[in-house]
Amino acid sequence: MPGDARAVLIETRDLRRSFDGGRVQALRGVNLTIGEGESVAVAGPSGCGKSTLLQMLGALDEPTQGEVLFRGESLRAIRDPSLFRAHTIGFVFQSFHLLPTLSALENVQMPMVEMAWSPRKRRTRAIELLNAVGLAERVSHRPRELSGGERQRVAIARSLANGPKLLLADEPTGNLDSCNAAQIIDLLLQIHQEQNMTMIIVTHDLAIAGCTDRIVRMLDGQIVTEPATC
Amino acid sequence: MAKSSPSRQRVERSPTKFFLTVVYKNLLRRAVRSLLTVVGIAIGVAAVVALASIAWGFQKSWEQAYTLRGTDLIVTKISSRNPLPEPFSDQIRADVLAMSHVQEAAALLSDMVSIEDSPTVMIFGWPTKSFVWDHLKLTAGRWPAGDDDKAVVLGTVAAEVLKKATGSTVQIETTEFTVCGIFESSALVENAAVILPLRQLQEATEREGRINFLNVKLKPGTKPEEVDLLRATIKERFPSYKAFAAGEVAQNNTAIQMAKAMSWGTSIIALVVGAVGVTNTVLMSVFERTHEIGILLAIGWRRVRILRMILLESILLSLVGGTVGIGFGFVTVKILQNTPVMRGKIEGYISAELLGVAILIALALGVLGGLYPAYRGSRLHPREALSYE
Amino acid sequence: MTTRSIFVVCVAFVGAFLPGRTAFFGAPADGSNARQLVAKVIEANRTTGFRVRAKLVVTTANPEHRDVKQLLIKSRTEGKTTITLYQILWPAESKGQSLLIERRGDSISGFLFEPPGTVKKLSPALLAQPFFGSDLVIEDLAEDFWDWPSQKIVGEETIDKKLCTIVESRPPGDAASSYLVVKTWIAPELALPLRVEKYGKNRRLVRRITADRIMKVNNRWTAANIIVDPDGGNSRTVLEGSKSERDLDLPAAEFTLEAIKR
Repeated sequence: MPGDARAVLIETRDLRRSFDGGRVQALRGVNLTIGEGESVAVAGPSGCGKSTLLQMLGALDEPTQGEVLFRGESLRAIRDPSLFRAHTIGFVFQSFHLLPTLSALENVQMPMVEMAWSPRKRRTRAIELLNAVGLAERVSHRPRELSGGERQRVAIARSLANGPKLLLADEPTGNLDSCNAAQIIDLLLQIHQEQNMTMIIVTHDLAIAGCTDRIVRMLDGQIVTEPATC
Repeated sequence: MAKSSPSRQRVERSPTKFFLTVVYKNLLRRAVRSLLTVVGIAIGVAAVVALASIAWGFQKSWEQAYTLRGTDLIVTKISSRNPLPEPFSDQIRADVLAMSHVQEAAALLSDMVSIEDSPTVMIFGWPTKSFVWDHLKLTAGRWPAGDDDKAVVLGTVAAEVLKKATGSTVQIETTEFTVCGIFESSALVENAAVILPLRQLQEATEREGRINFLNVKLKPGTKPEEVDLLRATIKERFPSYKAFAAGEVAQNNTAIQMAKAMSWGTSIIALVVGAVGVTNTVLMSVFERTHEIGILLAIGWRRVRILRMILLESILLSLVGGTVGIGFGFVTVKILQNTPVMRGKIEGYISAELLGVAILIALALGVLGGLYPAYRGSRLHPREALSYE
Repeated sequence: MTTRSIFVVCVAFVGAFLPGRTAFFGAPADGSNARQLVAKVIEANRTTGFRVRAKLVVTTANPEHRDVKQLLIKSRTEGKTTITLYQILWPAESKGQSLLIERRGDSISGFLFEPPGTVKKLSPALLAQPFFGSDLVIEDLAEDFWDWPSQKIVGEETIDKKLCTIVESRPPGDAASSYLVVKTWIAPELALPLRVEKYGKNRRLVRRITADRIMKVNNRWTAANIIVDPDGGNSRTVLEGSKSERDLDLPAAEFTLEAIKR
């Protein structure tokens, strides 16, 4: 069974999410298990609920019904979801979502304010992360001075700021050209391998999906198949 | 994983330099809007500073005058809404002088008159043989020779306003007087005044035998409880009069009370208008940054930190506005002091206390104005905020 | 803050420039609304006597020219007689000039005194002369246009956010007035005229008199300043009140030529 060779990091049980007073059923009973250190692609057509699923997994939203369990504990029991995300989750978005007035270095440090770190440690770590994503020479540049690929690298560095257990990437290459997209996917996979990072990537690109350990296909708010990967 | 939250790590003291940098850069994003908000706050704080400074200056000037004269108690009629009490018979002087602990009692007449082509000036009629003259410093000419001398002395500011020098004549009401001297006093209210023998002023204003103040000097060593007893005695014997100490000028002077009331009234209006302005600005910026707040929530910023960030932006705007406003207020007072109509009538008094009040008002503006937007911003739903266009 | 700006006691506009009346006589039934309004104003400003100190400032387009006089204006009313005395206190070259106007019922008399001893009785020629070099003429102080038989309300207008009723007064055919019509803008809620316009026989505006800096003093609305603008002229007269006392019982002896000469 997918993921059962590793300890379960995060799982969903009959996860449902509806909007608009129940008229829109974004998730209709999703049961998914992700093991520690696993990389999973969630693929499906637009509107199938994959982004909604990612938001549930990242404690950005609450289910209408069902549960999300992180290491066996329900996310409903978390008193402060923001703090949970700060310590546990790293997000990479399609539109990068960097703060425009801050430099690359400052953007990477943004998640770190919730950690009990000294300013020097924060800065050192941020520089290391930017080095790791190949932006050593761009630390003081603001987003508008960076290319699309560079911005996404900054976003990836930011997502790793607090040493998360789980990296959630929502269409990370959606706004990039094919060359940059390939670089970004390589980078993510590299992180996955080097750090044994559990990673969930939402994508409509099957080629990208094929590079993960597992592909979860979704359609109309439900998981339809979970084939093994290359 | 702990049931309630991840391990309770001690979160960093806030605000840190980094956090402040974020706040500061947020304000610079809409530099023009931030600047306009600062200007709006500055104008409000400037108005508060200017009016309060003038009101306090007015009060200080009178307090100073009484202190310099060596006056311990002032006896006057309980006034209506007029700044100067209605004149009353000087018979009361003899009665007060006969009371225990009273060393001297000077009967004075004060008025505001329009003199020649000048704006109205303060005019004092003082008995020539009286302690109230002792603190004045003659800088030119001489003092009036006696109660029959049709001569006046002018404070240095009054001399400038009236454009007179020793030897000039000055028409006061129906009588022409000679300017016999120029004097200096530390109290503006005296420095900007015309002083002449009491009898001369009484005759010129057709108020023979009438005064409107009795300045009382007590015997040295009079104890506070004896002063209180004296005041009570005066009150009992002359119910329509009051006796107050030099330090109680404020509550016994209608003009000062009105000035202070106006000052407070303006402060409250400035606070309300300023808070509304700040709320509008900060709320607008929260709406514009809804998506960004969603990102902050997604990357792990706690709601309380987001609240602090927005509130700090508001407070920073207000403190900058307040500081600029203090400067504006100071300049405004200086300008007003030197306008022809106001010259010699007002003197701003900017104390550390007033500056503190101004900063507190600015701070209050920031807190009041930013509270609701900060709350709104911190309560945004992460998913909804992220999907906000 | 100047006490003058807030607490100055004011020129009694009505008392100084619209001769005091004690009663209307034989008011006809027609035009009664206008008469009622005028009566209300007169009643609100009724006094046994007043003393006013004011500064008369005449300016022209030439900024160098500025003529200033300090005036003392006193009035006494007893029964149907009102005497008003206007005296110059300063400058020295004009000091002592005095204009006295006495109204007994419908008749007007008086004189102009110029030191050391010149006395000119009130006459049509004197009435046409400027009042102490200002843009008013002596006729403006002597004539009581509210005593004319023709009084009617001709409209309303808001002046400085105060709704005013416009009363038009026309002299009788045999009147010696130099005016064809006088319009007064009265603010009923203040019981105060805010503006007076006087039109000559050629129907052209001769002068406009405006009440300025309206304030409430001792429960009564008064104007601190009176502004006179002659039409087409390049001058302006402002009477700035600095002090006034009302409801006084001034002795008749103060209004005699002997007292004035002193």
